[in-house]
Amino acid sequence: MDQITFIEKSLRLRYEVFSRFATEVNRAETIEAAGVAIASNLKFILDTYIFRFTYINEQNRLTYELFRAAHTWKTNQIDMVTPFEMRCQHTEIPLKFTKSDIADNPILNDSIFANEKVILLFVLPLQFTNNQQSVIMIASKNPVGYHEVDFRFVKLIGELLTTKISQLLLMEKIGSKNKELESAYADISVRNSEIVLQQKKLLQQSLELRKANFEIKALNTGLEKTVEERTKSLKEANHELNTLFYRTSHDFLRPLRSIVGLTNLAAINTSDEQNLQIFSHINKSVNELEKMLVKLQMISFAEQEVSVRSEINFPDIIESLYTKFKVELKKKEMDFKREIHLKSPFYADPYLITVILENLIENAINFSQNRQSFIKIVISESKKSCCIKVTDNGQGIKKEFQPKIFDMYFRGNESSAGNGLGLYVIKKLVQKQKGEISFKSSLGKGSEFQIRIP
Amino acid sequence: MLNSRFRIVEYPEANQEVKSIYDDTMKQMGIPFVLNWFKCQGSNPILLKGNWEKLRSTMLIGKIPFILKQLIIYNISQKKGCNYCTHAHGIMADSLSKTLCDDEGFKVTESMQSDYIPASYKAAIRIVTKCALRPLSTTEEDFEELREEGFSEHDIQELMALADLTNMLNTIADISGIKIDNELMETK
Repeated sequence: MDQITFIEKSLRLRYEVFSRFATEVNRAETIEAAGVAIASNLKFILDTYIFRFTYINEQNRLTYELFRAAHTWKTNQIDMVTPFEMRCQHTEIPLKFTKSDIADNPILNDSIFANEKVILLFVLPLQFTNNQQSVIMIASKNPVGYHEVDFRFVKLIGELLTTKISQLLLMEKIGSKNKELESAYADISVRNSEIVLQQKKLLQQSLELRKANFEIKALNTGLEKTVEERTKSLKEANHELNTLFYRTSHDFLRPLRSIVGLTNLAAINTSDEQNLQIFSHINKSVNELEKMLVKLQMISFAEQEVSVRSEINFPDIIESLYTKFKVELKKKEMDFKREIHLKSPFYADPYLITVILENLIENAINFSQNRQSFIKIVISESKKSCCIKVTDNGQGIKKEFQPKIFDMYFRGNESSAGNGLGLYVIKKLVQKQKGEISFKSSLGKGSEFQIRIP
Repeated sequence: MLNSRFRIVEYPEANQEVKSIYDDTMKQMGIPFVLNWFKCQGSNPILLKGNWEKLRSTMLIGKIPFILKQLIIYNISQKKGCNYCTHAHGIMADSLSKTLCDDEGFKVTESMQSDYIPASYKAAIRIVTKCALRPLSTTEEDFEELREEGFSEHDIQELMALADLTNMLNTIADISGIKIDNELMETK
């Protein structure tokens, strides 16, 4: 067998292991697994006392070292050998260093390659596409050194490892991206779940609101119906009460007048002063009671919806009232003044106007003072309304009582001659005609009431 | 002349358990017949099963290349003068050579001193052979030399198991007096 044939044939032993090595490297899913494959097989392919392999690309620098079956991986780390390795990387040609060369090189002399058993060191820079490079350093303790075929294996190993690391880094990058995507997907899923939950809550709340609205509507409908029914029954009750009130007031008047008649008759038939005095008191009390009943009738009348409108004849009304109060006026020596300045006819309920004026005149008489007292009635018109002004120079109203004078049964003091209904009745009747009443009063000087009726 | 001091149990005579082991040996070793080394243990299925399991675990499985294992067994057997194992494993190693090389004249068993064969092969054959022949002569230096060649502790244990296995293979072959299988003789 000649030398060439023998070399080729013996190489088959190494190719057999290289094939297994390549299979294990290709199957490796991690950098570490690839490292184990190198450590397991390299000794059967090549005489290497120390093996160092560095992979370099734009972002990464990975260094593998194998010595006495122990291996290490360094990722993006600069060690003692790195500067030397970088220099060799740029030369891009295989370099050979003898034991003395190693001793003379300050970097190598401080490195693992300064091991006493190392006889030769070979550095093989490999350039690949896509800015990928690798540098292989193999130290041998065999003085024979390496043959050309050995370098073929070294190159094959370098190419295989470079391809594998590049693939693993890419896988790592993809894995990292996948993790980011998975994380983002998980976040989105969580958000989605939250949104779905919120939607469910909102839907639930919406259903509850609808239900509540429905219940409120039902309640409202019930309430409206109830209010309507109550209002109706209240109106009916009020109407019945008014009717009862009016009828009662009216019915009371007749026996009262009988009492007055009977008292007068009894007074004619007696000359006893004491009895006459009693009859006089009875008459006075009955008169007061009658006045009160008339006013209560007026209140009842004011509550009723019916009203008659006709042209108001103020001169006649005032004259009739003057006639009615003539005795009291004369008794109190009161001057009764009247002024009527109407240019056009005024329409309203004559009865109500009469009652309003009657009560104002009665009040003025009741609260007059004993010094040149007067009542002045002025009828005028302004802005499509009729203005009735009744002025006196009577006692006037205390300031603190002024806000209450239109209240029912309000009396300035216990000795007041009135029954506390007069101003209340006036206000009711003015309101019934959609009018307004105001007053000015000064204690001890008199009062002025002004009524505007449209 | 007797073929063996132990009774040779041929495949058709074997019981089902033994047949099953015979089948396994052929399948895993990649040979179409049952070796005499197994047949001479065919009357004792328990021993056969244990010894086959040891052979399989040590020789057929592991990190050390199969051809290196065959070369180590061949070398030890030759040195110990075990004809059966020298023939059998020499043929196995050289038949592997044929898978490596088409040349009729190439025998890997005769080429191990070449510079083109990594030193790790040579060191492993030399040291394991020494330890198999003279176990008591084993030294720390032997282990250290293997480590220097790049063998891990796991690798060294796997290599040394071959010393043990080969002694067992040789011992059974020599004690039983089995003859080289006709099929192997034909190959040779």
